[in-house]
Parts: sequence; C-alpha cells; structure tokens
Amino acid sequence: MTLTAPAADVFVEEWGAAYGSPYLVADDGPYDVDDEAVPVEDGPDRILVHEPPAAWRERPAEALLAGGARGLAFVDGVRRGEATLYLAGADARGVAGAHGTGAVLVDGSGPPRIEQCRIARVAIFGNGAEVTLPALAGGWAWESHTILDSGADAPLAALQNRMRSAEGRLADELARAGWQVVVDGPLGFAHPAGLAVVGYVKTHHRALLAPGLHAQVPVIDGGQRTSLFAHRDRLSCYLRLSSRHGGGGPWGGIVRIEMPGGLDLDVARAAADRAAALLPRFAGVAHVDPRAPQNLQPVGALERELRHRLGDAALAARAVRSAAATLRARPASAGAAGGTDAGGRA
Amino acid sequence: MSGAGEPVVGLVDGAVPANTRRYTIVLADDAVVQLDELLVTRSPLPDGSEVAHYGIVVEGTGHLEGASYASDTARIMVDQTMPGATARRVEVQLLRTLPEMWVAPNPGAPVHRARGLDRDNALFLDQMDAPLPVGLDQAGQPVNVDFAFVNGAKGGHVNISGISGVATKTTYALFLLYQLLETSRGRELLGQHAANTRALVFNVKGEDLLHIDRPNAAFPTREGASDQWAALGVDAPGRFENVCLYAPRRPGREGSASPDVVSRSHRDVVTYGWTPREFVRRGLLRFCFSEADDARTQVGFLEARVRVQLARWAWPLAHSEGGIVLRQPPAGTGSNFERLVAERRDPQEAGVGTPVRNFGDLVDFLDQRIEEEHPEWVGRMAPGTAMAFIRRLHGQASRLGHLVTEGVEPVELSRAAVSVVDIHALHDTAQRFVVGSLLSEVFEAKQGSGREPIRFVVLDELNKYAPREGTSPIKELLVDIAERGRSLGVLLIGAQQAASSVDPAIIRNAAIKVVGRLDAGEAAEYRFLSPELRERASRFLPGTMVLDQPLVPAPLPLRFPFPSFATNPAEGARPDDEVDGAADDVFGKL
Repeated sequence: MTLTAPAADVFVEEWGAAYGSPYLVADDGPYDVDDEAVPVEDGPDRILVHEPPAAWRERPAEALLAGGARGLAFVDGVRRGEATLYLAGADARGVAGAHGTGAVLVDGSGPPRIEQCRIARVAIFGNGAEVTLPALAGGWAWESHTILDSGADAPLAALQNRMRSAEGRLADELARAGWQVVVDGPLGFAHPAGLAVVGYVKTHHRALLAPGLHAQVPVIDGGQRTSLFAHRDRLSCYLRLSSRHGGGGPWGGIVRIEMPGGLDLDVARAAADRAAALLPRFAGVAHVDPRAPQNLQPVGALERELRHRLGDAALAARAVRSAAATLRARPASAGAAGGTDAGGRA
Repeated sequence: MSGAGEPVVGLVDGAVPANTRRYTIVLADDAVVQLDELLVTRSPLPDGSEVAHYGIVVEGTGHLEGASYASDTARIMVDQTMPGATARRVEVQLLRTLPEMWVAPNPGAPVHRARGLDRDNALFLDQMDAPLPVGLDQAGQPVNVDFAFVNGAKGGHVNISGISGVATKTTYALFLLYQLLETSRGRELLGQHAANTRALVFNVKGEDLLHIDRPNAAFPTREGASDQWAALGVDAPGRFENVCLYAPRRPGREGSASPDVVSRSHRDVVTYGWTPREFVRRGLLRFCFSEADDARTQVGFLEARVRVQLARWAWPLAHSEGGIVLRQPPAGTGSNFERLVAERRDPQEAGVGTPVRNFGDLVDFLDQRIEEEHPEWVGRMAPGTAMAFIRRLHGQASRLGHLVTEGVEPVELSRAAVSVVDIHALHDTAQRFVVGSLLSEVFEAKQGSGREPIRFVVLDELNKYAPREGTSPIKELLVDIAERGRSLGVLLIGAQQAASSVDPAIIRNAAIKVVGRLDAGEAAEYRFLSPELRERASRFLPGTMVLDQPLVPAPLPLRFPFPSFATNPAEGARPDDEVDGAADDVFGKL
C-alpha cells in the first residue's frame, strides 16, 4: 500500500539519528483506556493552551525567583557499570560500577554552576551473595551491596536504582532548601507532598491522553504548555521548548513535565508556568547536543561533568581486577573464618 | 622554612604533565599572578625528603571549563544557560631547585609567591659573592648580578640589544655605570681601586651624553622615580660627579681649536684630537683604512709599510705642540715599529725636511712620495694599489683630517672618572678612526698592568665597528678586547640594535646580556630568550629590559629607574645656561 502525503510535510527530526526519535507514539498503537490520563485544570474533557504570565516571559529573572525561590536547580545522575563480577560456587552475579548525581544551580547571580556532585563507587552482588572488594591505593574503594535477585541483569538494574534514589534525595534536599527543582527523567520516587519537584521527560513512548486530546497537544507553540492532567499519581502537562515552525515536525521540541500528584493544583499550575517560561531558555543547541532541544544545556553539561568525575573507565576496570585478584590470593581460611570482608556466602 | 603563611596562589596543574623545565599552575579563584612573578612550590618526595622548585611566570592563560564551542562562551557568561567555570593558569619556567635535584614538581603541590628568602633563593642571591643591583623586577624588588661577572673576575662585558628610538640602550648602559661609579654599593664593590676606575663613554647620538654631569631636570617631577632608586639602595641619586667632556675640533677652520658642540659652553668641553706626532707614534694610520673593502685589497699592505716609514722619518718639530718634521732617516735606521716609536729624537727645525702640522701636510707629503714611486715607500706595490691608497687618503682628509693637527688635546682617562667622547657628528670613517684610536690606547695601556683598576668602555652601534661580516683593524681590536679584555680589566659595555649584525665573538663573550625592545623579525637571533619573551620583547616599552646572566638559568625581565642624571640636552638644561655654542654656530655658517 502506498501512502501519499504532500512533500511539503517532510520534517527532519531534531535528535541525531543514533538517538532515534523522541516521539515513539504509533498512531495506531494500543491505547490503554484503564491507564488514561485525565485533564484537571480546565475540566476533564479538554486541554487548553496556557501561556506563562507576560512578565515572566519578558523578564525571566522574575520567574527564576518567583514565590521567593532561590532559583532553578537541574538535578541529574549518571551511572556506569565498570566490571561484571561472578562469584563461583554461589552462582552469584554482580557488577562493580559507579554512579554520580549533581545539580546545576541557576540563580541569576552568574553563570549556572555545578554543585553537590556526589559520586559513589559500588559493588553489587545478586543472589544474596556478600562480597567486599578491598580498597586499593589511588582512591579506589567500593561500597558493598547485596540483592536477592539472581537475574543476570539485576545487579545493573540495582545500580540504576541506586542512582535514581540518589537523584531523588538530592532533589528533595534542594527543594526543601528553596530551589525550584527540575529532575531529568520521570519522577521515579515518591517525593514528599508539597515539594514542587518537577520531572522532565524527553521521550514520548505512548499516548497518555485520550486520542482526541492527544492530537491537540502539538497546537502549543514555544514557551506554551497544555492544561495539567492527572496520570497515575502524577500531575503532568506538555510544553514546547522551541517554535512549532522550527522544522522538527508536529511534536518537535515538545517535552512533558510531571509533579507529585498530591500537589495543590495552584502550586502545580505555578510550577508548570515557571517551567514553560524558563525551560525554553535552556533548550539544548542543535550543533552541540544531538538530543537538542530536549536535552537541556545545564543537564548536558552536568552529565559530562558527572561522567568525567566517575573517573577513567579503564582505570576503574583495572582496579576491580586488582581487587578481585587480591581476594583470590588471600588464604581460603581468612575468607571462611571471618566471612566479613571477603569470601562468599550463598 | 620560609614561605609559611604566604597564601597559596594555586596548585601545580595535574591535567598536563609537569616537567623539570616547565610546569603549569592552576590559579586559585582569588589569586592574581602575572608574568615575571617568582613562585615557589615545595614537593615531598617518596623518600621523605622535600624539594623546592623556584620558577618565573612566563605565560598566562584562561579558558572556560565546560565550553567546547566558541559560542558556548556567551551561553555561559551572557545568557547564563550553560554551566561553566573560569579556569586560569600560568606557565612557569624553572629557575632553580633546592636542594639541586632534577625532578619535576608534584602535580597538585601548592604554590606560593617567592618572597623574602624564597625570592633570594629563586634568584641565586646566596650564590653571589658580591651582588650588584641592576634593575627592579615586576614587584619593584631589586634584581642583582654577581659583580664577579661584571669586573672580569669570573666573566665580564655587558652587551645590550634593542631597536633605536626608544633610547633605552644607552640609558641603561649609563645606569649601570652610575651604579658602579657613583653609588656607595658600586664603590664598595670596586674596593680599593674605586677611585682609579675609569669609564670611556662614546656619545653617538645628538649631544645627549654631554649632559650626564648635570642633574636630570625631569627627575624631581617623575612619579615613583626616587622610590625606584631607593629600592636599589640609592637614597640620593644625582648626576655623574666626575666627568670630562670631549668634543671634536670643529672642521673647516685651520688653526682654530674650537669644539664642535652647541648645547654646552665651550668652556665645559675639551677639544680633542691627535697631533701629527701622536698620529705617527701610535700608528693611527691603520685606523684611517677601516672601510669594509680595505681588508680585501693590497691597500692594507701598503698602509703597514707607510706606517713604518712614517715612524722612521718623523722627528719632533721644534717650537710646535705636536708637529713633526719628516726627513730621510740616517742609514742604519731600523724598521721595527715599536722600537722606532720608543726612540728619543731631538726636535728639528722645519728646514731640515718637510714640516707636518696637520693631516693635510701629511697627505701632501705622502702624495708626492707615492706619486714618484719611491721604492722605499711603495715597495713593489702595483701602481694601481698605490693610487688607490692615495685616493683613499685624500678622501679621508675631509672626513677626519680636522682631528689630526697640532695644538689639540688628547683624550686622557686620568682626568676624570668618566670621559665622554662625542663622535655623533663625525663621518662614519672618522667615528671608526676615533673609536679605534682610543680603544687601542686604552687596551695597550692595560697590557701587563693587572686587571684592576678597571676600564669600562661604553660603545653603542657595535655593528659599525665590529660587523658580523668582513675584517678591519677596529673589529680585530674589539674582538681582542671581547676575548682578552676581561682578564686585562678592559670591560666593554657594548650595545647594538641587533645582535645578529655584530661579530658573534663579541656577543658570546658578554657575560651579561640585556635586551630591550627588539625588532619583531630580529627576535629569532636571541636564543637565550624564551619564545614568549622573544615575542614580548617586540612590544617592550622604554625602561623594560630582559637580563640574562650566567648564574640564573632563565632570562629575567626588569625595569630600571628614570635616570637622575641628564641624558639629553633638554634634561640637562638649566635656567642660567649660557650656550655660546649656538651663537658660534651661526657665525660659523656665515
């Protein structure tokens, strides 16, 4: 079958080809009525176009410090598996790796600054195995963690979870300290009620709104957002970072933000307006970041910095090998007798 | 250990390798460190010992960490949408390690300013038996050289390079001379011979140096000048106290011995020249043939022959101040020049031969002898050579003839501590004649008499007298002074625009090299400068120089204070000045 469409409707998706498309919703994809999002801001049956107050658009500094906020804080994390471990005899798989979280603080007093970088280097074993890698010269040391899951991918998933919860903790800390927090990615953890922590979602995997409403989302232009809608335990809305005529297609530059569901609607509305007013300023730049504009400049820089601070991957892998070799070289009795810092227990 | 309590200005950069010659310092956020500053960093070594690295800042850089595209700069600093941090670094060239160990500083080691004892160590002050301040560093602290490299004991000669027009070379040479001769520190270093130390200064530009015996009129209003002198340990800088000024005889007026000078009263200057008798006795004919191509022809051979013949034929002229009578010598008169001029000869009346009272008389006499091809005078020389010789001699008569006459006074260093000899208005040939004649006198006088008391010679435009290419009697003399002068106590404070235009032996033998502003294309010649300094030297302002000395392995930029003595007529002007030279000049042109 041949589908014909006007050639004038050809668009180039914004993300680099290697990163795929941020819009993965298939027009005829399965739609889950039971998991449908419900608009809450302008009645349950419609979504409207919302624009932040003109003052904020014209003077972003006002939005930045609105409501007595100290400014905007972008929180993100990175993680890296550095060596895959295997404890023979206990059939336990593990991973040695590192994760880092940090924040970019923007308060208008100078360039955005990277702060609160926290790096953890961990060794996670599955199947309940307890193994402690000995620390090495050069600053190599691993926190030991044990999970019960024996799946081959479970340790890496646990590493990812640890990063996500570190992100969540940092976001909560900053929000309590008076920052407007934007966390890269969906909100993964239950944030205390009342904290307007905003999750920032770049990729659209499926339609959340009913098909009729979903089709209306691309109407919003740069700096505008949709009405808030409730989905599961989150409040959410779409907003567009760049002009809708920028050439990236109907969903070009559209991201979704989400907030804890228990938030007061007025608080959520103000947070969404601030996001719509401020985030376009930080949109990624196409020739710098292959995931522009969705990948925000501060977040891109923070990820680079965090990856940098994880240290050299090859050196890390070498350190894990040395640590494992040290363990193997110890007399068997040491491990068997103590069982605290070496050896294994299924 | 000193340095404790000094704030840390940065850390040895660990992102780039530090080596034993150069390393990079990441500056602390609140630190301001500029070029030429002296820094110290102490590194603990694995064996438990510690080594201090002393260095000088040779370059500074800054960049935004986090910016990978040029356009990121505005995102970070103006739009403030991208995080980024300013990183400032300075590059340091090693001066010294203490103890002397060839190891690189530890990456991450804290860095301090070198102050007090650290600064002394950085500049090898502990290795100098007799430090002489020769300028001030960036921070206004004195920079010293070891006097043993000035007085000839371990080394000698100072060479100064720099383009003309910024008037720095001569001023610096005189500043050095002032430090040596007029300050208590200088006299202390010269020791028991201080009173007998002499300086011969050639004035090559305007009548500038004919005023150094006067205080600089611009000095009192010059901001910070006395503080700079005070930092050098000179509390009351002033004029050169003991100076004798020499001006050449004015050309054109036979019999008159008035000096060719306009900015000073004739009473202030001595009119110098050579009598025919001195001319013959000192064999100065050789300095009349100093053109570059004279050495490549047979003219030189003929000159040597004529020089000896003149010594054989010359008798003192009775009733004359320095005139001679040329007459056939008695049979058996030898032809060894030294023995001939050492002979005591009784004055003769003019009638016994040809009286010679000036250069013109001498040329006429030689003209005739050579025209007639007297074998005694011309030997087997080809007629062409003889004609070339006489043609040259006629040519020189108008250029330097007025300097050779009876009744003029010689330049005598014994008269004053500093003798300033003006040659600026003389033709190039005459300048070479004067410089060659005086240098040979000074050098010969010091043969076999010991190094001290020292004779300093200040000579600009060395390229004129000892050019890189070609040979001439003056060049040979200067190279000889460069090579042997330091042990004989004849020390050259020489200067030129470009070191590449001067005989390499002269540059090589200078223990102390000073470079002012360089021509951008020329800078490649100065290997002892770092690449950064070579480039910077083309932008130096007057008063900034680079000092290279044997003890310190890196060149040090320095400044020297505004002179307290006059270095040109304007600075030397006095309200009650009576300049009869100017009036005289008007009449002279009538």
